[in-house]
Amino acid sequence: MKKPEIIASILGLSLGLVTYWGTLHFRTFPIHLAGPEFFPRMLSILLVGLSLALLVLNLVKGKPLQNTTREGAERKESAKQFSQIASAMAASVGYFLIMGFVGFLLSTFLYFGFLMLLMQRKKKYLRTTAWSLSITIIAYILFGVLLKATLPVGTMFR
Amino acid sequence: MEAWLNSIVVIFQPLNILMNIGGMLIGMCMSCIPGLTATLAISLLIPFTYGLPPVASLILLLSLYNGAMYGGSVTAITIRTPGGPSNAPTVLDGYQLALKGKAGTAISISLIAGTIGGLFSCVVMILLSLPLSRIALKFSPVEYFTLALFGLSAVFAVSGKSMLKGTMSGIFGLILGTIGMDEILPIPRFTMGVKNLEGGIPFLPAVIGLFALAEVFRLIEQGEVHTEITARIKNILPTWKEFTGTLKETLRGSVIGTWIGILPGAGATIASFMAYSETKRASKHPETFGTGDLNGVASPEAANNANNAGALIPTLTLGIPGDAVMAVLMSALIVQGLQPGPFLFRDHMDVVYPIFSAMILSNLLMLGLGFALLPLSSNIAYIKKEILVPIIAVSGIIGSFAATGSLYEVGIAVFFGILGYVMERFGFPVAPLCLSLILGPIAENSLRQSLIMSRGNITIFFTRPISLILIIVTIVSVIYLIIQGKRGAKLAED
Repeated sequence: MKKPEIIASILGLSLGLVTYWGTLHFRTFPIHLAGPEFFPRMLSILLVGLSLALLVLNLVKGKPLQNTTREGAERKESAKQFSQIASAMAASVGYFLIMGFVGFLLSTFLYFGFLMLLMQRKKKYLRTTAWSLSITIIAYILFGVLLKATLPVGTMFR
Repeated sequence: MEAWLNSIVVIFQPLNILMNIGGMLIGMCMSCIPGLTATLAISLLIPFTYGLPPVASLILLLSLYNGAMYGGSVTAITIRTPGGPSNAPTVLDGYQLALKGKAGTAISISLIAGTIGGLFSCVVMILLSLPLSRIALKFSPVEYFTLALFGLSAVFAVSGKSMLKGTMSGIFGLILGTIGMDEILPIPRFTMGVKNLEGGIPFLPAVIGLFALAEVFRLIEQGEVHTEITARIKNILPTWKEFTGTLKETLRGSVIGTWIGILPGAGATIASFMAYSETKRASKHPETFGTGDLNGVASPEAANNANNAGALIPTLTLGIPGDAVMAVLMSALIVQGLQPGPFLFRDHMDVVYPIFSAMILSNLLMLGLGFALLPLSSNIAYIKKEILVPIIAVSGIIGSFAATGSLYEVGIAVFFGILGYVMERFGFPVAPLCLSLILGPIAENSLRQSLIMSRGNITIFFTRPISLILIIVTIVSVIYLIIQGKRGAKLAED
């Protein structure tokens, strides 16, 4: 049996159960046959059923019935790759979190630069800074000036 | 006839030609950037149209819409990132074609199919505007539910290798679609006390996350390796065989796109997914879909562009927006002192005929401009990953912010980016989730309204003729797709 398939089944099962549990807390309207809980409850039952089916199929067969996890996932992922992806995700979350605080320009400059450095085997700081600055300015002109979107200034600078 | 001739004279006036070309170029360029969609572009450009005459203003916005529908396919094909939600099905086969060095062919087929789809729907719009809108008026929640159900059966077509996982992904999307305030009885569902979630999951940032940001993470995982699209894109023009081989499915997509466009609220995304699903279902070799089948590009792109004129029908004749873009466009009409609806046809045919003619001209311009710009648009493939990846990430995130100016939507995009990446790592396709996210609310609301209408009697879905037909077609479609899926899997093993 393949670990990812089992994990996926358990995640699906958990999600289905959590959704069902969530619907138990909805306010009920007895006069309505199909109240707010009806659709999500029905879906959660379906999801639990399908997750169990996936789990059982993989357990019974001994190998995944549908070996559909991406090829890259089957080989052992290097620690470096994992840390790169995790860093990119963390950077994206950080970009979202700091944008409101430091503003669009600084956060975009930092985010772009970080991702670019992440992709480079040999770090080229000057080149990265130049690109980061250029793209930030272009983005500002495009969104802020031409399209007149209200870009966050950042509470730090107010 | 005189009115038609006058309209042709009007659309060839210098200002109107400039608006047509300008709108087309803006639409094409903007939709090449993930996150910048027609809806955003139109809503931001409306203030610029205040000073323009009504016809010029509408020509600008409509040609932008046409250009954006096509332009989004360029990035869908070259970097697996749909320019807009309705280009998502194009990714499935378009990107595979790019990996085989046929990005140019895929983009040109997309352009040709989009032009044919656009022209087809223009003809339909002109000929059947009023009669078609009368049929659409007969749709009640019962028909909308069964139509949504039929649309959801497309989940099986876009599930890729695993229908079980695809179905789970679809159900997950449906569950996500229930987040927010219940539309029938105003109670919050799964909002966890977060005020922003009461409005539900906004679709645009979710799609940006699922496709653009998830792709960013995937590209980072690969690292700065020799990019898959390495050779100069040759053979930009398709061969005669390639062109004729996709004609049938282009027409199929055109019909589906036009019809879906007419239905209020359905939208280009549903049209393109349904076209893809139907094309795969009707194919003699469905196992080739998802591996680089040109029909998998032609059909959804034809539907995509055909949806435009189709969506104009209820917008202009009834004052009911055919999709989100039309809703924004309606505000442009109102700003110009034109009230969409039957009175528009009675009192302002001097505006209506030029709109019809301009839509035809716009599609022809799209073909010419598209081919002229194709070598440039395909150059996006040569940008180094270390530069391309951050550009995609930044433009996707800013795109999700720019539409509403809300950081909440940025958070949604980032969340769905991480979710999309993780899902794909575990073998769960994201296309079904994307489809279910948009169809879920339609399906749920129409189901519940139908049950209210029938006082809980579910036979209502079987007693109304259109609904019954849609149910039968859905069942047949699902069974057929499952059989085809198993057959395809067996063929692959052999």
